[in-house]
Amino acid sequence: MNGASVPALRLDVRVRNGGDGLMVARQEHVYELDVVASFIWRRIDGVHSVADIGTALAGEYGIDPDEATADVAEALEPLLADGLITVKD
Amino acid sequence: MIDLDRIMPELVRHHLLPATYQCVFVAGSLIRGWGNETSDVDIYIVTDSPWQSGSADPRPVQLRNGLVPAEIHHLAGRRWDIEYWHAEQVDELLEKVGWEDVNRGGAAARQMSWLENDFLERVSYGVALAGQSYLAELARRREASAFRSLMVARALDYLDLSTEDATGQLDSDDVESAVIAAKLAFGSAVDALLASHGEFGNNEKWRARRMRVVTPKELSFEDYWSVETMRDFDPATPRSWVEQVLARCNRIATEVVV
Repeated sequence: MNGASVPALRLDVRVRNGGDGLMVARQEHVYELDVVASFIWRRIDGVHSVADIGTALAGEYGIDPDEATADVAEALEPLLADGLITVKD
Repeated sequence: MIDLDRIMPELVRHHLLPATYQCVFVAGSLIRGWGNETSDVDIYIVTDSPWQSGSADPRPVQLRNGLVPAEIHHLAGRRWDIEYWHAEQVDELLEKVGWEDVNRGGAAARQMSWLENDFLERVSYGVALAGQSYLAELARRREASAFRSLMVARALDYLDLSTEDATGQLDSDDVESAVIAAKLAFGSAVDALLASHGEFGNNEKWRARRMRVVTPKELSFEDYWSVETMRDFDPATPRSWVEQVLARCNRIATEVVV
């Protein structure tokens, strides 16, 4: 996955909003997302790239865009591995 | 649409009012201003002792005393539907949706019947004809309970089931079934959203009315109505419609706080 990759949610992913963060799941894979990971999750729409989400994250938290993009890619890797998202390169 | 002052005398005249009771209230579509000429008058009487009558129709509920007697009465061409809830049943119902039970797993709360949902929904806007303070206390206890969270969670569970159906059907090229499942998923997503804003209800025929009442920021009425009426559905590309609807359901579920 790189900055140009475009993530999309699988249609059969389950989501619960507990107020502080999201719980997302597909089949037997369950993730409790913290506030930052929930911010990233909400921007996965099959249109915006990893770099786009990184830019938004950088703006929200006042961090370097390149670093933020790397953080986004790192956060998405396990979700991709467990089939909660797909990625178009 | 209905003269509330006529109800108590009419109940007395036809021996439909017990000797003692905690509360009598009217609810349903007529009270919400959604009724029409064919709408029933829904009357609830909370009794001190079980209602005994040869004409009562016992309706099942998931409580220790598992029956709520109901009488049907007609006046001036309108049907009155009168349910007699024993005060002990009401207390048990509120315990069932209490946080204590829900935090233990909420097994009892998951067994709620249609009648129980209706009763709890209606205490918040019902109009008391007698026992106003009792009804106000009922509404307060329900608001303090886990009822809202339970209704949101139940709708999201239904959403998950329909979504799973729709995606499985798409995978097996059963696209017509997937369209129906996606429509069901969307209805559940909207119900979850409405429940999170305090609008509950068993009957989907009032969903548009409830959307008008809530006007949730997460979904405009126009967007809701577009999917509800399948405005963008193209018979030539049903798969695309299903995918768009499921994606929208997912966005709604993301914003609904359980």
